[in-house]
Amino acid sequence: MSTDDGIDPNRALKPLRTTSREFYVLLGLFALGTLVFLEAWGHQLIHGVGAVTGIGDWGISAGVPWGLYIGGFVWWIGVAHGGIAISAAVRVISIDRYRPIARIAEILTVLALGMAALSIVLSMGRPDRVFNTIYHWPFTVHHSPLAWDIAVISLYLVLTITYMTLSLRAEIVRLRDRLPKWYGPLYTLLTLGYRDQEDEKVEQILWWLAVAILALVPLLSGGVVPWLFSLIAAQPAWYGAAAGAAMLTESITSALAIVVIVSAVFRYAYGWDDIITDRIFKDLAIVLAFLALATIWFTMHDVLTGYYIAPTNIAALTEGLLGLEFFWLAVAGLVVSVIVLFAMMGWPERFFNVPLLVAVSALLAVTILNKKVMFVVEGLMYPTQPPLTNLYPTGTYSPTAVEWVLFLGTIMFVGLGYLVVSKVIPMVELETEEIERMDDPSVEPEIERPDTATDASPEVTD
Amino acid sequence: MMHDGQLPPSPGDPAWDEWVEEQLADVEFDTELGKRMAEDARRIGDDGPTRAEFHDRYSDAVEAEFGVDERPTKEAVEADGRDEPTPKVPDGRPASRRKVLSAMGGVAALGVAGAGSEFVTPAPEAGPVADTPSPEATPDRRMGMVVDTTQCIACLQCSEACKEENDTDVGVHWPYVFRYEDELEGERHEGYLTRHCQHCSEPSCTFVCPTQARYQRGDDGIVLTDYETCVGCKYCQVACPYGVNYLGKDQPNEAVGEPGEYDRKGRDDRPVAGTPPKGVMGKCTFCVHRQDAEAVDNGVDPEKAGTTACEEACPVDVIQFGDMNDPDSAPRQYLRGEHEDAPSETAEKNQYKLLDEVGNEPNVVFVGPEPSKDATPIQGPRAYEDMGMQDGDYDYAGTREGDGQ
Amino acid sequence: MAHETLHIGLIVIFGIIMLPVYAMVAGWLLGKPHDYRTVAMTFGYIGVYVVAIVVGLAVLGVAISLVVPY
Repeated sequence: MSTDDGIDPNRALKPLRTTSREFYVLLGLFALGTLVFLEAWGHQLIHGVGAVTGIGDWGISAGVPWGLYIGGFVWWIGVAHGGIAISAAVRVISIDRYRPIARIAEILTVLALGMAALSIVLSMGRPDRVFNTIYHWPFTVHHSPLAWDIAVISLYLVLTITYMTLSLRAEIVRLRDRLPKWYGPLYTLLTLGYRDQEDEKVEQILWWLAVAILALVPLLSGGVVPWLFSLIAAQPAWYGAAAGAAMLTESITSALAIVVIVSAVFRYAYGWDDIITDRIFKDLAIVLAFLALATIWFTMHDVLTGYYIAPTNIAALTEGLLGLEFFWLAVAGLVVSVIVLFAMMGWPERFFNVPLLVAVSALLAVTILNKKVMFVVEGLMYPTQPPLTNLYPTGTYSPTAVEWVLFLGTIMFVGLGYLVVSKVIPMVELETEEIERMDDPSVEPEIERPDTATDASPEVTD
Repeated sequence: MMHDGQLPPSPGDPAWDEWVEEQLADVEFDTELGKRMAEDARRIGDDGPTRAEFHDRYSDAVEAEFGVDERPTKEAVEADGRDEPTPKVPDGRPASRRKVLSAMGGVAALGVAGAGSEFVTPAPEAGPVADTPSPEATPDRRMGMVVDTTQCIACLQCSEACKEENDTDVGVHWPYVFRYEDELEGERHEGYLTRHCQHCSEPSCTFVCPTQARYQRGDDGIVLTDYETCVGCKYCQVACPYGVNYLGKDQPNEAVGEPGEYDRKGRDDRPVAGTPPKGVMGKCTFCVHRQDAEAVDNGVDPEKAGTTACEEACPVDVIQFGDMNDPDSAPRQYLRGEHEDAPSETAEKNQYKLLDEVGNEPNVVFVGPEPSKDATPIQGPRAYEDMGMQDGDYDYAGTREGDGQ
Repeated sequence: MAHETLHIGLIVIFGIIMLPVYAMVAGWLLGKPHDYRTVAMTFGYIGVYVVAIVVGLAVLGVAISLVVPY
């Protein structure tokens, strides 16, 4: 059933009604992963961040104080943006075409922001004191970019969750008897005080919420987060006005890439080929193509300004950057992605297919992660200005196994989060008219397509 | 590289007259005036004139001779609330401002251009860099240091003394002694520079701290870390251009240092002294436990207030710790060459602040040539390992002094 | 910059970052249909979530402090 006629709620509610074997396998794997994560984190808490990670003090110790955790933090903030931004765009610009992926994208935002916060806690020397940052906020907000960060990330999270829960109210009230019984108390809580009359106002409130959230995207991912770095005169690799725009572009790229991946997984798992259509993916591919191209463009700026008769210390750090194999891996990742994506755009019959798009998206997401970690680490390897740059040794950094486990754990938690949430709320946003048509006897019920996810051997759909 | 630091004969000495004539021979200004002023200057405060009287006595003659009177005694007169004319550059004279000042100040007060001239570079404005109150001079004190790199012999005792006093971790050096090779006026030059926390007036570390753990004390300007509040986010380390911050790892140096037997509390009742505990950030505290020993019963001898461990340990008096706002403090006197430990030409030497253009307003003034962008670290006359301490992560290409340099 | 009277962070947060939020709230209050009960409910949601974040961080801190030995 094409989206022009609306989404069939029976199909959309499938995750809430059936659970496949694959789901339980994944759940088991993620539960195991969680145990590994907790063990590694416990190890880090007991022995201290300084002892178990590759983190060190810059200066005479030639260390790098911010590494994979902080790079991961910046990456997760970026990923968080694409999610709700798609959802908000659907509402504000009324592009109903993307509504099938809107809720999946919203949940990505919430999970990614949570992982961003977790990444910060992982990097702290005394995470048990994390509340100090809240307690002192009224004073530190005056001058600390970190305090601004805390505020804006919390604001974004609150607005996103409010958006999600408000939009769920009408849906859940109408779907109540088709939803799993054991979440009853939660549904009651979510729909507390619901009246039909609120629907129109809620729509208006949601519209303004979407506008505010969209406006906050450049202010968070292209504002407060880059400012953490770009305001610091002591780190010339970071300092300056260009970081904001570059980071925003990279952020949206990685965000859309992950939305593509997660949407494709849901489409495959529940046979939603006609709900999350090829059209949606083709459109996302086009946007990704241009964003990846823009990312290359910003990288070019970085290299050229650092290479052409640059101040001594800037020249040194650019030379260092160009000597890093990670840099060339990132460039290759971007170039390959751009080529494939433009091919998909230009000759869709020959080149476009969802699995390839998912692969390119994964490549882009990892490439952006690489770039963000490099930005953080490489900048700190070549800190400050002459004469201290030349009097201090150049820093080195290599993440330890603990760092990898904890960082990869955050990715796993997003997966786990999706597993859990998909069993509680509808993953496809349903409109009131669609839901009411479910019970309308004049409408022929759709014959359900074969259950690809509950079959022992799922077909690969195209 | 080292000057011989020969002291001039004192005025009572018969050789003094001759010596003054000799020193002032190259100077084109009135030698007799210089001699008379020098004699009177020596007697200020004893049986001679007061500073204000001295200033007034010679102001007409000085203005007639040089066209301007910028002597340091001007402050004493200003304190009387009198107006001073706007300083003018002398007309039609080929003399540089520096020469004017050096001749005018007299042998007694400012020393003379001449011996040790390899370190003399023109002072940027009127007078040495930091012998002026800070731009935001307040009645409060502003603790700082003068580090005379021309006297430093890289014995590393400052590093060792600090480690003994504060029990810092292995590899952590609150004052670190850079030993480097540089080029100075076309010649190879080996320099030593001791880098502490600069206790800046505009410390970027305090601005970025998300918990107010890193703060600057209002009454003396010392920048401290509250070890109970700090969450170990390391933003202070990231924001500091000087590289003075270290994350506490609880890895004490066994060979040097023992647990501080003083209470860590500062006078504002926050634990700020000594090495940071595990997981929080720390740096040079200007031995705050000594500074606060009078106010807080922390087990430190109150006599030590006003000193730092590194200053105490330095065998050649490189470090002068004190109030940069007070013109009579040890560091300020040192910069004018008036301090008993100051070689006589100190005021003529290059005086600078490290990374001044970054804007943090550091309060450590260095005396000596500033290392350039081409300065390369070398192993100095003594290695940190020789003293049971771990050096920074250096891979010294140079040889040790004496190894056929 | 220093610690002046009008601190830069206040301008950044309340003068720039919060502008979309001010516009949003204005839209809620001034826009049709006028339904202040629903707007109040929305503020209620926001308040609950803010409290949840703050309390959550405090609880997280306490939980971690049980593991941290130093």
